[in-house]
Amino acid sequence: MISIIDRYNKTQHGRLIRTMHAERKRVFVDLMRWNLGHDGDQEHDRFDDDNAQYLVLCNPEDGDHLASLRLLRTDRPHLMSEIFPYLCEAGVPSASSIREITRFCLSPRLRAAERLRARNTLVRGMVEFGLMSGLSAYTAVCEMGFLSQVLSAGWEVNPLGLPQIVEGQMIGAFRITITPDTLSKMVASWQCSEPVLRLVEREPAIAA
Amino acid sequence: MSQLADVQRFIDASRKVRCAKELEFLITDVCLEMAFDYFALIHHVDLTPLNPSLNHVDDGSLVAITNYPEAWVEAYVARNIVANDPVLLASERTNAGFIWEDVGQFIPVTQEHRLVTEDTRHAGLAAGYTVPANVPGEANGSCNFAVRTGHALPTANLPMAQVVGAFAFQAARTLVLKAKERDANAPKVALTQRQLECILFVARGKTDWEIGKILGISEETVKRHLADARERYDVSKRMQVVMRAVYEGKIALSDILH
Repeated sequence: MISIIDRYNKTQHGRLIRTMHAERKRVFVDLMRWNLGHDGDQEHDRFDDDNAQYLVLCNPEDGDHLASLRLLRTDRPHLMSEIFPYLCEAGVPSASSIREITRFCLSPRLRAAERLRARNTLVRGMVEFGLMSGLSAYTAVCEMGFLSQVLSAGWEVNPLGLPQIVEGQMIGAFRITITPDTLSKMVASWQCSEPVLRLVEREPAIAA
Repeated sequence: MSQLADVQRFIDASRKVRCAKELEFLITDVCLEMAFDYFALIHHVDLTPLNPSLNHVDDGSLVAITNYPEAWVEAYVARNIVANDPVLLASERTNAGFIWEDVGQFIPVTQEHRLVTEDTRHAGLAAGYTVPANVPGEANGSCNFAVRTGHALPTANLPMAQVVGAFAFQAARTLVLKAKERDANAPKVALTQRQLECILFVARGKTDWEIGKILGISEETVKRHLADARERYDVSKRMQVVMRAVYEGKIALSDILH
């Protein structure tokens, strides 16, 4: 199951959020050597604020993070508009119906088969979230090394500009169009047969 | 027109191709636009089925589409250079595009590799740029662009080649997958978790007795799991089971090298 975590229910998921930031540090700082700020244990940036939403796959055994991604509104400052605007030739896409996917993170503890299962579950959650929220597209800044894998899912991906070399890595900006048949069009090796998104329990608002 | 518009035009057209021949024409065109003379879109497997009609793509066997000089393709297949081409070996060690001169950054270059490189140049392919297309659960692949002797590598167009290469391979992969889906006889192989664990330890060089100790089961049970796995893949040797499991992405090389 994938949990949608945002400012309203963050406090109920302390452990999951904490282990997510710790694994983000291991993956993006230690393994991929991205130049990101961290406190030695966890990776956070200025976009981990009240406007961020997270889709998180949790290990049912210990409650720890297995896979996650962060969604940023594109009608507010986000990664692509603030740090990588030059990757978009015709301007950074910005709309309430478009979210930016950032920090796509699979736990380094997962073995190959589990890893693919976690990836597929998270991606399905992402498409379900898009459909539920009436989104038309996702955008993402992607290392070119991942492009083949992203394309292999079989969805509609288009470049927003030509890739450029940044800090030794060739990266580019892309848009993934989301339509009601996106899920059914995904190739078999990316499919996850069960719906995965869970509407997380929310404390009802107390009337003042 | 901007390069991005050219790329987008290629992508749109590549999504509409109905057969490998159409894709071949598209790639030939975009290659010229990028100032490359040659391309080869291939899965890194035995290329014997390759033939000019491109039936091997349309029947779902493998991705192999190229306009390399004919004599070189023949020699390449006959000598099974695919297994020892330093460019392809390098492309299995990285996922981002690289120029052929840089293969030494990814693999130790042997005398044999140097001979292949020399033969490649001899065949008229002076320099090249390779976009890896390695995807879990599938044979490794790549989209290779090259220039003929006397032409310089179009360095300014490499970012465009990177994107075009990835989308071109995806278009070819889609043709192969669609053909496979049509093929109702595709065997379905599912391994159990226990079988996978045994295969993983075989890959790490453990004996049946050692695997039994690690997993806390008897040596006999290990033998049975491996025999069942061989039967599922219809192969006779344990190493073949390992290769098949790696090929299908059930286990990764990184698991083995733990």
